[in-house]
Parts: sequence; structure tokens; C-alpha cells
Amino acid sequence: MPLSSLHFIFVFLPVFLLLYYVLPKSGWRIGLLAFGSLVFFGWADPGNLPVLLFSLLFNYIFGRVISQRLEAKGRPAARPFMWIAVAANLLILVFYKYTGFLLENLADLINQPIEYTSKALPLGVSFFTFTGISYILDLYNSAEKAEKNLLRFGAYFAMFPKLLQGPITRFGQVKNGLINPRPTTDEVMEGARRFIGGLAKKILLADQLGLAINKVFASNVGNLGVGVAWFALVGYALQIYLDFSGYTDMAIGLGKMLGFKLPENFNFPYISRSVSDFWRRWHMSLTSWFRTYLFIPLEFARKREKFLRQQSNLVIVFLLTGLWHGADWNFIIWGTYFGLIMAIESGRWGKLLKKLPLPVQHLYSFLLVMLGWVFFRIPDIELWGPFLKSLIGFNGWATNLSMRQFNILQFVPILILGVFFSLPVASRLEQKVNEKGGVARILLDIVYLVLFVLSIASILANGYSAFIYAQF
Amino acid sequence: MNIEERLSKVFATVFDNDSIEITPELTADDVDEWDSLSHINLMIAIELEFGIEFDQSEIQNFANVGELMASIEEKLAKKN
Repeated sequence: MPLSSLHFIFVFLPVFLLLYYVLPKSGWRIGLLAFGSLVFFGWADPGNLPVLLFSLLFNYIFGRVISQRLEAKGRPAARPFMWIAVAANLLILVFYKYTGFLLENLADLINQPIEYTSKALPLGVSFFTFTGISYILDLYNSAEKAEKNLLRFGAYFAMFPKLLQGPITRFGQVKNGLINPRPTTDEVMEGARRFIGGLAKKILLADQLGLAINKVFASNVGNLGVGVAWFALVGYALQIYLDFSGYTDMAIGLGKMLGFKLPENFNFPYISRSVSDFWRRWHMSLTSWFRTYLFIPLEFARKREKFLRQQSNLVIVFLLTGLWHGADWNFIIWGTYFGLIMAIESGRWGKLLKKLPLPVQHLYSFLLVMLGWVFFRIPDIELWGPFLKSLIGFNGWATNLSMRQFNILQFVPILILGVFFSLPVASRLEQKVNEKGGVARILLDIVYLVLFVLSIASILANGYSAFIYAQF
Repeated sequence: MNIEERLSKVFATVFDNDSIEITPELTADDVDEWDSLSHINLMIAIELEFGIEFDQSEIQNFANVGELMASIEEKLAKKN
């Protein structure tokens, strides 16, 4: 059940919140959160509920065993259990997400067809398996102690705001909230505003942009004028940001309404000054996961290697970051491309870049990130060349696939709004309003109400469309 | 060479900058070249220089060079 569906907004959420706020004891609220999250999952993906339940119980049990062994006998005694638990999480992910891709490539390699019917991907599998691994490794590294209360663990692991698309939350980030989640009225209000803001970003901006650019990408991308090609590419960059950061705002807002502080996932990625900077601002909970659990351990494991150690580790880690997004070559290339650039930026070029004028740094970062979205958006690698040719003007300013044909002028206001909400200006305004309070706050809340009504009207008119990151 | 001098040499090599003065109050914010990637290089260089090993959780938790030096001293004392 996507957070932007009418079922969620008008049935699940009101019932859940009512019960949550009425229940007097924290233990009951936690139980409701754990149970409600399973209902939430089962509603959308009943067939895969056993996978989630297995994953939840498995990580709970292995977490407890690892903590007990660590305390009683030290790390070597806990190590095999850590490896089994990490491998089990990875196996679930690989089995559901990558089997088809692996077999397909194997079939190409041995030149013989292999029969395989792909299994339905359990919702959020990329996110909850990574949550499980982070929990296990935090215990093994003694950063956290295992949660003994199964309901509390369940509430952490399956917490519905973050279950399907993150932010990937470490146990330490919510464990205090799990003891006694009791949001204040202010926090509930703030959470509700953030939720509505995210919903509006998704429905009123991202989905609208999607309508425009999907048509362009479905056309002959090798025969576009410069204007249309760039409109589509920038439109996609905005769409994916507004879609995913909109979802994240909804998740963080819901978390706040329940008394939890989920980690931030975005920090205005499009104002970055380098590709490394972009990745410090884009899907931060995922990059932080890869840094903590893969990159740093790899760096230390290979510490005696001098030749291109850090550079090669960057490429490996970003290749896998790309692969995490989907079992397809375009994602692998997309990730590796960023890994290579970051490897280059980690050397002299990075230092030099910092000394260049700011506009040059922004332009550099913008162009490389945009090129990345070409790889990301167009799965068919053979179409990259033709689309790039359109981008750099091989077909001139306009072709018979004109702006008018795609109705692009109609979408320009949305594009401009999209740019505005990708910059820090809007959130600074909100901060100012919060400091001022009074009439300004009331006025802005009226704006939020209007946005909510508009979003709902739009969902009613167009139906909701899935979040882009829900497929990863 | 005492710990401070050896550490100073490590800093100069990792950050490619001889002018960094090692004081207990020094933090990553004071050194331009000290970002998340070079921090890992620094930790690895220190491990190799002193023959010690940091825990995962320690690597990202040193507040300043003073805490780092205290940890190195402690680990060296345990080793001997």
C-alpha cells in the first residue's frame, strides 16, 4: 500500500493513528506499531508476508545469539553467527531480485536458454534486508545491544513509514523512541505538515513531470531537438528527486507523528559542487550504509595495498550501489560511472576542483549527474548514443518531434516549481515562518491544507502512480 | 621519536602538507584536506605506523587529535 494511496491516507492511517494516540501504555503502542506494520505490508503484498516475517524473526533471533556470544565469549564466538545472518539477508535479496538477471546472463554465456519464471519481488525487500544487515553488524561491532523485546524489534524492523522505501534506519537511531514513543502535539503537527509537503511534491510535481517526460522517452530519442531532449532529462532529474524525497518527507513526517526521528535522506543534491558532494546529499541513508558496512571494512581489510586501494574500493562500492537499484546492466554502469568519477575526485582533481570558481563547480557536477540520469532512465544501452546526440544538438534545435507535440509549454510552470522545491529556498522560508509563528504560521498551514486537497483531487482524477524507488 | 612526532609525520604524509601543527584540540574542521576519505587514509596510516588496530566504532568517533592520541597510547601500552 503506497503512502500516497487513498486506502492508506483515508483508511489505514486514520484508524492506526486513532488507536495509537488512544492507547495509554507505551508497550501497547509498540505492539500496535509492530502489528499494524505487518497489516500494512500484508494489505499490499499478502503473498510475501511470510518472507518479511521470516526475515524479522531470523534477525531477531540471530541478533540475540550474537549479543549473548559477544558478551560471554568474545568476537570469535559471535563471528560465524554474524556471517550466517548477513548471508541469509543477502540470500533473500539475491534470490528474489537477482536470480533472473544472473540466469539470463549465464544463458547468454553458455549460449543455451534457461527456463525461469521470475518471482514477484517482495515489497521493500532491498530496504528491509539492508536494515537487517545493519542491525546484525551494529551488534557484532558492539555499537548496539540486541533488542530482547520481540514487539519492540518488530516495530523497529517493520515500522511501516520506512518499510517499503527507507530511509534505511539503524537501530541506534530509533531505539530511544521505542522505549516510550510519545510525540508532542507540536511534533504531530510538524509531522503532518512534512507528510503533506511530501505528498504534494510527489502528486502535484513528480507525477505531473512524469506525464510529460515519459512521452518523450517513449518516442524516438535519437530524433529530438536540443530543447526537448534537455527538457526531458532535467524533467527526469527533478521527477526522481521530487518523487523519492517526497516519499522520504512522508516517511519522516509519519515517523514524527508516531514519536520517532527517522534519519534524513536528502540534503538538496542538486546544489552539489562535485560528484562526491552529490553522493553526500543523495539517498544519504543508502550511501551511509555502504560506507559503514562495506567501504570502510574493505579499506581496512586491504590496508597494506598501496596501489589504487581507495580508488578501486570506491569503484567496487559504487558498482554495488548501482546494482542495488536493480538487476540490470544500466544500473551497474550507472554506479560504476560514479565510482570512477569519485576515484578521480579523491586525487588531485578533487583538490583542484575546489579551487575553481563556484559556478564552474556547480556546472561540472550538474553535467556529470545529468549524464548519470541518462544511464539510469534509459535501460536500453543502445539508445544512449542516439539520445546523447540529441542532447548535444546533432538534430539541431527542433525536429518534427517538437515541443508542441509533447505539450511541453504546459509543463514549464511545473518544471519551474520543481526547480524551486529542489533548492533550499522553500525550507528556509518554512524555518522563518516557524520562528515568527502567529499569522504567518496559520497562513502557511492553510497553504498546506490547500495542497492536501489538491493532491487528493489529483489522485482521485488520475489514480495514484507507484513511487519510482518502490521497484528497487 | 615520541608519539606526537610520529603522528605529525603521518599527518604530513597523508594530507601532503608539512605545515599542520598537531595539538590535542585539532579537529577535522581545522584541516582543509581532512575529509571522510582522507580520514580513512589517516586511520590506516596510523594503524600501520604504530602497529595497532582501531575498532570499527572508534574510527568515526574521535572528537579531536587529543582523543586519538590517548587511544594510540592506550593501545601501545596494551601491546607491550
